[in-house]
Amino acid sequence: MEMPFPLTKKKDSFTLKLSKELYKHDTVQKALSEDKDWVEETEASDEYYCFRLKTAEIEDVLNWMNSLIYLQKG
Amino acid sequence: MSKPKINVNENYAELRVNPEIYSKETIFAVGYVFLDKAYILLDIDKDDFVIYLYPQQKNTDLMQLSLEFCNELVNYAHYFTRSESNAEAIKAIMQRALFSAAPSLVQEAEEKEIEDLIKELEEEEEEEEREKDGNAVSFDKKEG
Repeated sequence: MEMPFPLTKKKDSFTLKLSKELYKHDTVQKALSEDKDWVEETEASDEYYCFRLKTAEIEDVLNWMNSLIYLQKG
Repeated sequence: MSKPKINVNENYAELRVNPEIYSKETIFAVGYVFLDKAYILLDIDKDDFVIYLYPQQKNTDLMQLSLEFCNELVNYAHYFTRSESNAEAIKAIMQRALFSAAPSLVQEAEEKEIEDLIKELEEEEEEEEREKDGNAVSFDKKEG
């Protein structure tokens, strides 16, 4: 399955990069705290947060992405 | 050559928007509206905001979805621009409505405004005094 740049698939997980300029720190931390059993923050750069999502299902990842939009806007 | 503004792949669509035209707030507002239709991932690539749209329904026309997203961007950009230009008028109307319900608040607000003005004037006078003293010292040095 084709993936856009910020999202890459590993064997049983996904790596997701989120721009710090777009996604607020508070939003990201809140989402992480709610899903810490399967979402792990890995080495970030100056411009990006980086996460490892321990799931093989792309839908789980996509739902998590949407939850960030919901948290940030709501 | 700049990249195409809408690029539809097999599984997702990629939209590129100019940040000088559409703000982050606008994009998030539209993203929120589309939460029941698409999965949304946002990114920045050099001069563009990049919006990746994954459909939630299997037979979704990704080009159609992208174009709808673009229309909502225009809609919300217009909304936020209008809100900003109307903010002062709305504030005045709200204040009038509030003060009519509680007239004592008018006096309190006026006293506060006068206090702020006096404070501002005092600060300006102090600033002028400091500048005068500064000029006097440099003048004396030249004379000396």
